Amino acid sequence: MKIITKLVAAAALCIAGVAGPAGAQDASPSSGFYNALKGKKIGFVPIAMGFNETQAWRTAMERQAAALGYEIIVRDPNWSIEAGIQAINSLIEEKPDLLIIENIDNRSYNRMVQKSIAAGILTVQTQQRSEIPSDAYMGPDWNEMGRNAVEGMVQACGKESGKNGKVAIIQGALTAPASLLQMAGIDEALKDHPEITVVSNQAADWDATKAYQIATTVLQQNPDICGIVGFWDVADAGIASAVKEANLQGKVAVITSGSGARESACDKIAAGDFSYYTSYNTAGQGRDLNAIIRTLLQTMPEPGSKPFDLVSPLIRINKDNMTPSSCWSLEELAQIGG
Amino acid sequence: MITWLRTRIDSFLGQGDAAVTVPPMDGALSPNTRLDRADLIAQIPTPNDLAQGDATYVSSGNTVYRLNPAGAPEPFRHFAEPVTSLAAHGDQLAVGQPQHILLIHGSTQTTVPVQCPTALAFMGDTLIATQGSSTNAPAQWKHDLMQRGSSGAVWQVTPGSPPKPLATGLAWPNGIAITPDGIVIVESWRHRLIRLGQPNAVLADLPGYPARLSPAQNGWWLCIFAPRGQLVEFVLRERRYCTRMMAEIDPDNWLAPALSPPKSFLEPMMGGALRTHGFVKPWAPSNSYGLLVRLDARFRPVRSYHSRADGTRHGITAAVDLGTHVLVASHGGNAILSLEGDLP
Amino acid sequence: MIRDDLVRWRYRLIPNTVVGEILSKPWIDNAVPVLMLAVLLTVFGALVPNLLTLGNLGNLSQTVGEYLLMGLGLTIVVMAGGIDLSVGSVFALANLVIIALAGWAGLPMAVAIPVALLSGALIGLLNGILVGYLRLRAFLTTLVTLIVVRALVDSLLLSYSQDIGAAPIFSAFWDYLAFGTVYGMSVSFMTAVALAVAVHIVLTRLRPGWHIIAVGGSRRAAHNAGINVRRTVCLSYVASGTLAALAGVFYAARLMSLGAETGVGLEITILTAVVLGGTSLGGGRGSVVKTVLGVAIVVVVTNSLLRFNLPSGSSPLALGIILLLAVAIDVRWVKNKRKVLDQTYVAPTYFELPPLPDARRGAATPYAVNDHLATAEPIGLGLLDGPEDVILDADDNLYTGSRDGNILRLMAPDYTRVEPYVHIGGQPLGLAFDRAGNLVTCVAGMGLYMVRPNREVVKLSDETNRTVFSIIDDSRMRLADDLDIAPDGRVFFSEATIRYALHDWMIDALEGRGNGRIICYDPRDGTSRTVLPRLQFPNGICMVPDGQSFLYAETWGCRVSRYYFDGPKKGRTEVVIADLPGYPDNINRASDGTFWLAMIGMRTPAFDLSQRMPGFRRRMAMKVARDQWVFPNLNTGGVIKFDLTGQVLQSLWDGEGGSHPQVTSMREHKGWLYLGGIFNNRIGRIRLPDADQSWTSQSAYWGAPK
Repeated sequence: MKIITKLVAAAALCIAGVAGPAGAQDASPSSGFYNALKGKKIGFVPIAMGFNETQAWRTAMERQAAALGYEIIVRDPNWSIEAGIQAINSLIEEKPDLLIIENIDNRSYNRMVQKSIAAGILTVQTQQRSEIPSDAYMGPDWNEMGRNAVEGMVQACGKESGKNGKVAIIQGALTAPASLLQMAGIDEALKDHPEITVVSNQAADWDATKAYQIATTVLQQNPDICGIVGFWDVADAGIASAVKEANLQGKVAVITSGSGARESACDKIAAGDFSYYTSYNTAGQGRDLNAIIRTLLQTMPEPGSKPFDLVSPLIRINKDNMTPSSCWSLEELAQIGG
Repeated sequence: MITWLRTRIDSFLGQGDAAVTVPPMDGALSPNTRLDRADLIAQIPTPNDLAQGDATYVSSGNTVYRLNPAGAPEPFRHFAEPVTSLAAHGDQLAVGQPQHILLIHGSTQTTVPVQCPTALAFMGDTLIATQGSSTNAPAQWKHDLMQRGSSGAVWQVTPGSPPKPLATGLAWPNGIAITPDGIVIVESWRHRLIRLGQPNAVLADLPGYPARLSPAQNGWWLCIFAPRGQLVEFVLRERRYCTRMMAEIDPDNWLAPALSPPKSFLEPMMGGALRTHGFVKPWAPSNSYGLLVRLDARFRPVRSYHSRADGTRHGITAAVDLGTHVLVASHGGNAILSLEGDLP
Repeated sequence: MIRDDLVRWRYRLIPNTVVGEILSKPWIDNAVPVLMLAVLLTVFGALVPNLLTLGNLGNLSQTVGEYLLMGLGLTIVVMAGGIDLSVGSVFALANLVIIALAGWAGLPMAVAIPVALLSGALIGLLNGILVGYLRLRAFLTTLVTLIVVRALVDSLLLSYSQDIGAAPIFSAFWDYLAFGTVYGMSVSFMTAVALAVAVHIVLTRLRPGWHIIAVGGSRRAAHNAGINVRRTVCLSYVASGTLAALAGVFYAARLMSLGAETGVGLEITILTAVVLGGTSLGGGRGSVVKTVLGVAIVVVVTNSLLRFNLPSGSSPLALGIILLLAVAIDVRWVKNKRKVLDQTYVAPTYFELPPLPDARRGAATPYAVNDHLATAEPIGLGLLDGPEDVILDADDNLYTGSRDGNILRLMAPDYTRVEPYVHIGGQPLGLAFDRAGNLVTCVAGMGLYMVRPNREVVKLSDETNRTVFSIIDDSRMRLADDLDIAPDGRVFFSEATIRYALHDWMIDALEGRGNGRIICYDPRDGTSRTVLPRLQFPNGICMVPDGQSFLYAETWGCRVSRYYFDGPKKGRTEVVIADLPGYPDNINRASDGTFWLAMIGMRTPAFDLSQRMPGFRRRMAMKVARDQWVFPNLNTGGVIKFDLTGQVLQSLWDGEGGSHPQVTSMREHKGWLYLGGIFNNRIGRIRLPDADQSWTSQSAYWGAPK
């Protein structure tokens, strides 16, 4: 009889556990946790929807939002600063509890970040940092990304490779911190590698077509080039196809970086399009964002008072060290992400 | 309901039945001044019909004239009532009058009770007669038009038996052509030629109101006694205006087709008909016009003879082909004209 | 008839002139964008929360301000017949220049801002020289500038963005540009509004604006009119460049950002706004108001779509579709407005004339038509065109107006020599000599003018007081017709209709409404006041010798009245002849103390009936081609003699209309009666054997010549 009672109690506990927060009065997550999150409103203004990073974040955030009962409002400015400002403005008017802004460069949204904090909204910046600090920043250390890129160059074109050390750099948007800081990191690291010479340095504005055109021209002008460094895998697909078209695949190394999405990273590395890839692992970034949301909404600091950073750990991927778990996919994220 | 709606929509948009558009005079009907340049045979007041049997006859008012060998008209017979139509066959003469038709053969004279005979034609010894309207007299043709009359009929008159109707419900039948394939009738108010017993018009959408048909060499002469115009087409659809106009105004001064150029300052004027620098433009809109159309054997227009707005030989009511030349009656011009050479 | 009464009241209570008159206003072109904006605001306002809150509008005001500034520039260019695609790049350039100068170089704002504006002006000048002076295609040229300037900005950014972008700007004025508000709206918005007003005034009221519109309407015509087309085109691009740069400065102040995306695709947005407002890409047609509307629509649409959380790219797609729609509507509107206007402008009303007196030949009335005028001796046959009025001076020389805007003089005694006396313009109609021998004339399309004996032309009056609540501007004179001069020098003149210009004057007959008026010009203070409004085509005016009244004829009203402007009966009107058989025109004195009245045409029963059926006339005007409308019969005319009691003493007609189908004026002079006709190519004269052979109108008015 006792045994039966215990079993029933255990089963009840199990059910309570499975049933989730509602019945978990005394369970280990404090009721404060759920109350802090339930019914909250979170605004999200990416640079644009429809590419790996933003889709991954959204998927991850929405998965958690659905589980914990809060709302994510996405406003898509589609690469336009003007639209982004309108989007942020409109969200500030709607007074969400937390606002996540993906900066398009280091300055354009300065005033918006200030305004959002002033309006008493917890403000998070992702991926690129504006000049104004806010409650949290989540993104890679771009400087480190740049140093990593140099590592990729050295691997492909350095002293030990026996190649001539000529590389071209195709940046993103010139004023974007992702480009600026990465470039700074490259410049810094290259001091230690005088054998590497940069024969061309241009900006493709995160655009694959533009990157393709620049790469094609670079390859024509420098047929003996050893490697091309790009700053974002989506745009650098253009570099890869230019290299392929010039029949130089395998001879010219394409060094790139990005989200680590399977089709734009691992698949391309396997196909030989990219020889060296630095991933800031957007799947992990999604988890970080969710952590920030959970943390900030529980602690509810005075907006702008205690800024902190969650810097994304980087993964270096090449053909040799690549495993199935080096990359992620949206389907997986929808199931297990966040 | 749908019909009512259709009518309202058409009326608002001026389309379908409410359209006041008029077919243009182009192609074989392109304007010229041939009627104004035609030779004047005789000045006769308001000639109405022409007929050719053993001799050539002209009707005018109450009188029938006969052309003498020199071609000049001489009074032939005088009647108590106006002559409305005329036909001749050998020595037979058929004379239409408002209330009946007189068949004259030598000294015998028979009265046939067909009212409002607007055109007559012999088919052998048989007479075909069009009855313009069963309610209006021939002189009241404007009334019939404004009432949108369609009470006309075609009669077959065989000597010794009562007239037999060949067709009814016609809108002012006003001309007859006897063809090997049947009888072709002119329907003035519907601006078309129809073959009796057949649904489709042989010639439709004429730019004027057609009158008599007469045989030509390998074809036909079609008289157009008045032009169609947007304004009259519009007035015809303005029923209240029509009614009041008929009730209050002398028919000579109506907004209606006319047989002659304006004779009085009481007749309405269309804006385009204004005299500038002393002249009326030939292309001015006009309620009267002179038009004779040469049709081929299949009733297709091949050539036309005009007297335009600035001309006087308007109201062509009859023509007769004499082989060497064609005689034309201009009702409004008070003239019998001769057109030389009917070119093939 | 009861039905007639109903019709009469219906037309008296509800004037049907409104639709046509509104459609004839230039501002009606704004109806489409206004409607569109209203619909969008209603729909989006309902769908999008907070769209129309003050906070949101305040936030948008900066965007609106910048768009509007660029829109104004583009409007100027488009109205001059061009297009400027480089505005987006110029915007980015100015953004870079101002940040570089004020931040990096540390120059004061007073220098930095003008230099930034200058950079835009220079790009505009480049466009202007290429398009205006070298006659390159505007589209391709500015497309090239768009690319070149963008490349310039990009290469500068590549080299210097880190240095320039890092430098802060400390300036109170700079912050004011960015955050300052005027009445709750951003500085950029208020600046744009102020400039919009200024540009509107320039475009509609000042010479440079008229030049721009003229050039856009037709380069060749503008050139022929003496406008420097090349300079005008060039300057329009300079204006556009400068305004785009100004927008860039505001943008820089607002964002302090050197983003590579700055201004990309902005030219399309602005062009959409301009075209959406209804400014025609063909040039010559547009306005600032339209652009304001267009900008409002674009901002509302983009802002609303952003809030709908639609997938990426849908916003430009929607804008594109709206642009396409706007262009389509614009094309249809332009194509059909004229048609609708033509169909709806004519607004007939109920009018019943008294019974028609019998004027047929041989009738027992004094009006019986005859052929007296058919034999009139022709003067200047074929040399004259539209001698509406005739007058003779003390030397018997004959004066008359002509359709080409001249007053012609035919020299006595045989009147075979014709010389242009003066050229005024318009079409001179009524003529009268004043006491000093000046020839005063009513000029259709212009107003009241005076010709001094030394042939100097002086404008006396071309506007009067505007009627309150009148949709059409009736202060200007469209159709000054006839005049006479009171002993004290006041000029009373008729304006036949305020709704039609001279070439359409006959259409006024269809309306049957009092569209005309009599105006008094007082030379003592140079003012003009309307003394008798709402007359039915007031035409002839003739002073009665009592010096207190004048006679006037109302053409479509078929009557002659007498108005007392002085004396005990001051302000009263008496009808002298109420039921003329035709349409009266000018009135002049006869030597025996009676009056001559010109008859321009005859009443017809069919038209009289239509006057009682306004709906019939309205439908006719809509459905029937204009030259086939039924009009008064103006192919028979003549002259009537009457006295002040209204008794008709005599009538002289041209029954067949062969030489004087319309008589618009007559003047007795030394035993002759001279006849004028507005559609005629001659003046006629007939002997008046029974008249005083020395009498002249001149001496009857002003005494014997000294």
